[in-house]
Amino acid sequence: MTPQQYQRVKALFARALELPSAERAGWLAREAADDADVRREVLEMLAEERNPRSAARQLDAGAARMLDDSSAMPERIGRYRILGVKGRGGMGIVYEAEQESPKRRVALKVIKSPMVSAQLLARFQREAEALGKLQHVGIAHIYEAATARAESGEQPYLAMELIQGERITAYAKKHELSVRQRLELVARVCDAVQHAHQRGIIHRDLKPANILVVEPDTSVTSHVKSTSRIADTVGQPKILDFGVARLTAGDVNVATLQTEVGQLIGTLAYMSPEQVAGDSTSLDTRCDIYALGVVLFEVLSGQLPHNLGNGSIAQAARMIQEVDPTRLSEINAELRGDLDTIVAKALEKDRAHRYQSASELAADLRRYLADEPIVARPASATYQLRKFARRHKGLVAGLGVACAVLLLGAAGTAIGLVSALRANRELAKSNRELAQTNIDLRNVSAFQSAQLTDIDVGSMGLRLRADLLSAIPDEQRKAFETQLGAVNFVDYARSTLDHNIFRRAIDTINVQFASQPVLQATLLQDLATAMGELGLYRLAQIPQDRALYLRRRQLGNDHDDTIASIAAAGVLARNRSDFEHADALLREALERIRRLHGKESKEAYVAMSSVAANLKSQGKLDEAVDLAHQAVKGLSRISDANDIESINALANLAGVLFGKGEYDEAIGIGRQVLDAYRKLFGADSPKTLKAMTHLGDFLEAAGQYEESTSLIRQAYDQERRVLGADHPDTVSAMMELGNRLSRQGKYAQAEPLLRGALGKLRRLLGNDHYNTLNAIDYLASLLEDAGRFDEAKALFAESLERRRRTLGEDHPATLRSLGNYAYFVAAEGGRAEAEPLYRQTLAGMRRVYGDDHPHTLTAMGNLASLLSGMGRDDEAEPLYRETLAADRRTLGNDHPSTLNAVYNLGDMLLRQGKLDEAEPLCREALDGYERVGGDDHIGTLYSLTLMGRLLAAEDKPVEAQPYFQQAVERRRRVNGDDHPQTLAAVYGLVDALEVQDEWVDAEKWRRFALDFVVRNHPDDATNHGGALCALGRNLLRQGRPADAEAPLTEGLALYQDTDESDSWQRWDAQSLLGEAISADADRRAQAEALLLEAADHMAALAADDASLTSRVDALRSTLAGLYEAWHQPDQAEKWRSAVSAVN
Amino acid sequence: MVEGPNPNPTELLHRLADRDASAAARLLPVIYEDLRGLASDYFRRQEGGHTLQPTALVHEAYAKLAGSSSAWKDRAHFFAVAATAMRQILIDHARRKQAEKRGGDRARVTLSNLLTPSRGSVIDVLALNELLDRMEQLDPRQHQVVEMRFFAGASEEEVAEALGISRTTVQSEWRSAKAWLAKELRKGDTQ
Repeated sequence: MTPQQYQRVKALFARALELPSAERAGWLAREAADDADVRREVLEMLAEERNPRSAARQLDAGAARMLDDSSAMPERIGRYRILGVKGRGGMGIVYEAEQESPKRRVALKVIKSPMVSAQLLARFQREAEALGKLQHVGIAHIYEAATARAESGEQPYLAMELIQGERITAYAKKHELSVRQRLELVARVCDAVQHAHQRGIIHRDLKPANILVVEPDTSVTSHVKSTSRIADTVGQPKILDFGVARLTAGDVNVATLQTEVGQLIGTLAYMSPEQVAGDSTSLDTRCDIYALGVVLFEVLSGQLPHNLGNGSIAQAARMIQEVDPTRLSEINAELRGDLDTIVAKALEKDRAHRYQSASELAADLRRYLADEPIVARPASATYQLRKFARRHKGLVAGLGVACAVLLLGAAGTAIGLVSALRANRELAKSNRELAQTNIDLRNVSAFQSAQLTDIDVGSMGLRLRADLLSAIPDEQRKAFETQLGAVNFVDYARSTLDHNIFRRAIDTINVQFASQPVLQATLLQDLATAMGELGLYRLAQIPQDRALYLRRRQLGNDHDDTIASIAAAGVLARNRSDFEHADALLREALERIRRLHGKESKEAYVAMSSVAANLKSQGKLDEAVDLAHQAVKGLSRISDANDIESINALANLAGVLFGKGEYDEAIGIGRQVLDAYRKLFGADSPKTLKAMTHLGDFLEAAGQYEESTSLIRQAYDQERRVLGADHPDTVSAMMELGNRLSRQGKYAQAEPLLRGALGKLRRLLGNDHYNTLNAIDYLASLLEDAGRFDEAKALFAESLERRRRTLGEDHPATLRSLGNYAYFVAAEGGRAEAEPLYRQTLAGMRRVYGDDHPHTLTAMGNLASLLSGMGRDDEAEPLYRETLAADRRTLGNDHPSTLNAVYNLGDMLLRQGKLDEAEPLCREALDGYERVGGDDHIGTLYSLTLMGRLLAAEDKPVEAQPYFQQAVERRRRVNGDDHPQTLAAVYGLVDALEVQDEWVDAEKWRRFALDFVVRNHPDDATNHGGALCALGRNLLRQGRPADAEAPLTEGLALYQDTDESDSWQRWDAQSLLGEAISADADRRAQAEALLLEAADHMAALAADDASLTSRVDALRSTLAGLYEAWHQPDQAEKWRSAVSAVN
Repeated sequence: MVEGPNPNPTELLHRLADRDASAAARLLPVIYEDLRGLASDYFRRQEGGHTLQPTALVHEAYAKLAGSSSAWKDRAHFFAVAATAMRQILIDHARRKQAEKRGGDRARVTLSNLLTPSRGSVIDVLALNELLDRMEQLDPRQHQVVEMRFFAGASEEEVAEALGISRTTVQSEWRSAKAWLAKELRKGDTQ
């Protein structure tokens, strides 16, 4: 046969199948007339299709079902000769075998038991003996229980009566039995069950699969005489596997869970509510009664009393415990009445209300058959109500954890962990006996760790929610749903993992595998890694430490697995901010890898990259960059550029460069890395999101806000959805987003994010973790920018103190904290206090980062600001200039730091009166901030006021005014009415207005300023007085001396009580008051006195301060004018001439 | 930032989805080792009905490798590779068993089926292996479909995804494959 012929065969086969079978041969003969081989092939294949015993059916089952690996079947087991395989169940394989003497066919059930110990065998024998005593026509008799020698030890088996029959449900259907016949059948089953119960044996797994009916054999006499002749025409039910459940390790719950999940639900249908609740120790014979009830229901109606369908196990369990069974009569009206009652009683959820014995049930059935009244009573109304009021605890306890686990894994992989979690004491004990058998360690490890790593928290959370909802009674579900809406189930899932699974897993692993340290270490390491990936760093330390210790001890330090643990421990240490320790571990790993695999190995370079990343966290940036570069270069030499290791090393390099302030390079590489991750892992993968966040960091630092914010927002949304709100990556993103919004002035949006992130970080990572401290700083900055200084100060102080304590004085992060705190202290007004702090910071920054580093420049700029603010402009100026030049050089003109420097220098020059030099800078600052930061950026706001001040200083009040106007508007909007900068802007505006004699417009602002002072600085007499007097002046100049008087009087009074009592402001105020009063003819003398005194003192002051001369002159002119008005020309003349020579 | 010296085959898995042949080549030995390790334990337990469930093994191996990001498409491609590995393992084992038999005719190493009684037909694994080799010569794509379905228990969707064909194509390939294999096996029986 050639390939071409084969293709033709396939095509013909497919088309032939579409024809009616009678036509196929003829059609084929025509179509393939030219090729006999092809025809024959197709015909043979068509024949297979028709053949019901074709091997094609086995092929369908595939190797997926089973592979009987041993040399087919054994030839004999014990004294039995194996004839064939009869079937397989959850417990083991069943052979059909022949016994020699007595010669008979038996069913040989070989128990599949993963751990077989001497004790278990002994117990097996004892149980089998007890079972052997069961002699009843309705029970498959057990002939012998023994063990066979096998390679893995002694293999227990049971020889039982071989039953050739059909399942009871199928039998009833096939033979179309009447209702009465069915009842008789079930009654016989009850008889058999009763027999066993009387001998203290509970079946626990009654179901149709275990109840086979054999054709009536006239030689068999029923043990029970029945009045009905129907009995003789109905087959004999035989119950299988009585008590066998107890012979395998653990109870039937575990045994049944060893089957696939779908099958489990099938078995669940027959389990009583108390069984399903998982408390196997208090199970009694009444669980069999319940099962009988279900079987009865099914035999009568063909359906199950509960529709367990496609739900989850938790849903099924809940239904069994909570939901009333369907009434028989609803399915078949013929069955109403007493039958309903009988079935209902057997299916009572509270076992105290069921039939208390199988014989009771049988008796009621026979009474019905005999048309006698039954004993069971139908449920009364009150009884119904009581049932509804019954409280069942939420998720089924015993199965709860199993549910969670079964939800996670594929069928077949849940076994190990489930049995571990439901650690039946016997199970645990015999597990320890594993050491005596030859179980492959890796196998156990594989499926346990598969369980642990294949955890998708997101969907687990969603499923948990669904399950939880389904476990809640209908009446309350609506209420719960709203409450549950507020709960993030991904978080819940994580904490469930934490409490239920991880802690238990750690304990279980330590207990179960105490005598197998290598395996123990593997499991613990897997666990630690999985927990690390979910962000449970603190908890992961426990298994991590132990795993490393065990591996060092058992495998030695130079074993690949040990090295893997060393590296993992290093990573964990780093995640927990213990950088020193991390460094030691990662370097150790690197060394050992180099020795083991060579310097030019991929593993070595990957390890090198890890060390570099950690160095960065330690602040050793040069070393870090160096190593990171080496690693990248090394990997590019020996492996593919698209390898994940190369990409990761690149990512580390980007991070390190960023730490060093090389933003452009970092951005370039960051983009590369992000693209690579997207391609490798997809847009939604946590790794991609993390890369996105990092790139956002770089962009932010480089001033590219738009892109940065948008990236961070994306990352945050997705991380929240995929990883859960508590995952460190999500919290980081939350924080960064808040930070950016804060810098853009969107405080209202930013604050909840930052507070939220901080709260989580404190809780998840602890107060000293560097992420937490960064979060504190961000929040503090926001509060500061929003003018809430007390709150901000407390936070800055906290972060500084913690850093000092945990990182030391010279750590870059401590220095940053120091700088922040110092800035804050200065902002609060403690300039002298702040100066040494600033100097310290600057010196430290120079040491750690060098002269041109942004951090150093910031520190420099801050010190300069401070000095300038203290009036030491001469000291400040060179610092400003240096800062600005360096910023322009390293960051470019549009960087916020550069603009900041521009502003500072411009501001300083302005204050020094160097207006020509100042002007271009002020304009540059404003233009730059508006362009780069937007209208509401803090820098823009400052710059607006700056421009106003500049123009005012240049005597261009008309031009100044709009700037101040803008500044006031925006400040009010962004910072509120109580922010000092708002007031500063207002002052600028009001000055500009008053200079233009726009007194009326200015009045409103004078009042604003006054209100501000009263509200915010109620105890500040000077400012209060000043504001009052300013208002007074304003009113006076509007020509309202009567209105002016009150504020002026009040203001003056305030001045008199303070240190300002001899300041020009005070005398100026006094002169104003004098002016105000002078309009009143009756108080001329008073006015005159005030004015004269003021002039006197003013002149004295002017002698020392030439700048006051103009004021004194103004006062003199005022006096002159007044005397004129008072008709005292010589006085007027005196004062006029006192006005100094022209300016 | 990501650290850690151990290369992660998960990444190779993702590359499989891009039908990167070199990734498949690199992944196969890893999978093979894992499966073999998992399988050898089952094989060691002889009489007594401990059975190997290849599908479960393949699932376990996959879960172990896939880590926390297991897209079903990755699984599909994984199965394509794992099926080949699984087949090899079963064949190796069967051959070993055969060699162990002292004297006599070649023993039939059987795959038996829950649904049919033991007296029914069983499939000779070695014979099947030879037939599959022949099929590979005649129709490589169909051969892959059979490998994935039979040895890894892959679903129709998974096979479709891995091989880049439609589900209906998978169905018809499987149907005709079964018929052909079954009739060839029957012929082998009677010869």
